[in-house]
Amino acid sequence: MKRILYALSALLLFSVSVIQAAENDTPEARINAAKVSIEKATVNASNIKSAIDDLQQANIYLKKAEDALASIGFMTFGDKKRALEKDVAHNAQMVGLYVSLSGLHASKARSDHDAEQYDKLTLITKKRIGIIESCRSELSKVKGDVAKLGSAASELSVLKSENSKLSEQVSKQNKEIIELKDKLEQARKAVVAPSSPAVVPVPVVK
Amino acid sequence: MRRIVAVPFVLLTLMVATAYGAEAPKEIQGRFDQLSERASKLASTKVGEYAKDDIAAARTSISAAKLAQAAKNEKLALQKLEIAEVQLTIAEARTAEKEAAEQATLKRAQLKQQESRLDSFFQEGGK
Repeated sequence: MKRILYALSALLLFSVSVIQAAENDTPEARINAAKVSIEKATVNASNIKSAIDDLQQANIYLKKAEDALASIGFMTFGDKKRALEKDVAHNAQMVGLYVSLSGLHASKARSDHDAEQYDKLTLITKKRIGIIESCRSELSKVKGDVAKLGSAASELSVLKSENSKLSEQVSKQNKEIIELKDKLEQARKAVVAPSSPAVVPVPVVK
Repeated sequence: MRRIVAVPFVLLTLMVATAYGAEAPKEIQGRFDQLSERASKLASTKVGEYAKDDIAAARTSISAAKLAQAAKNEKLALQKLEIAEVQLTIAEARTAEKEAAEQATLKRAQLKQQESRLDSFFQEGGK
């Protein structure tokens, strides 16, 4: 009994899916699907010319599909009906293809635009880096000059201190020279004073 | 007299009809050759790598067109050729799109590299 129930439920589910597939496969369903895809693609295409051109082609095929569908009347049977349905299917397929093409063109245009923007930003960033690098090089040069000045200042300080020492020595030596000169003068005077009577000529007795 | 006029007229009509009938398959054959050649050329370039499935789909459509032509169904053959033509255009567009996406990714990576270099300058300060 259970097996029969399982078999019946499976059959029911299968029939439902077959009916749904058949409904999706009708010319009307194809045209509706084509319309929806064009609407979505139109939003995606925005202002991209190549994508818009593709959608114009898609619309031409949609029109053809609608015309073929409109030609199927109550009195259209057999081969003629099948041929018109095939026309609808073909034109709906062409709509799908042009919608895909439009999507690819739109996507490419966006990637191109992005690449262009990245290029511009990279150029700006490189310029900034260039400016920073040149500032750094200037700074390094200035630092070198400052370091040179620092060493010159310390050399100057050493020289000043040496100069001061030498000046002291010179003044000391000058003092010594003066003292020595004084001593020499005194000594000369002392030497000159005792010898002066000897210079007086002694009178000669006849 | 009427018969004399009618015979060449019928013959001429037959000749025109035959010529017209032979021209249509010639035109289809031309498109077969053109599309097959285009598919082969594309398959040997980057398109064959980036849009393999599209090329395969186009080739399937060309084969279907040939079958339809063999079955004397010219309308179906032309429809299949029409589909194949767009499928090949899609293959080219997909390749161009993928290449553009790759370029954008590359440029983005280059920008990121420069930005991180700039950031490192700022982080280092005046050192």
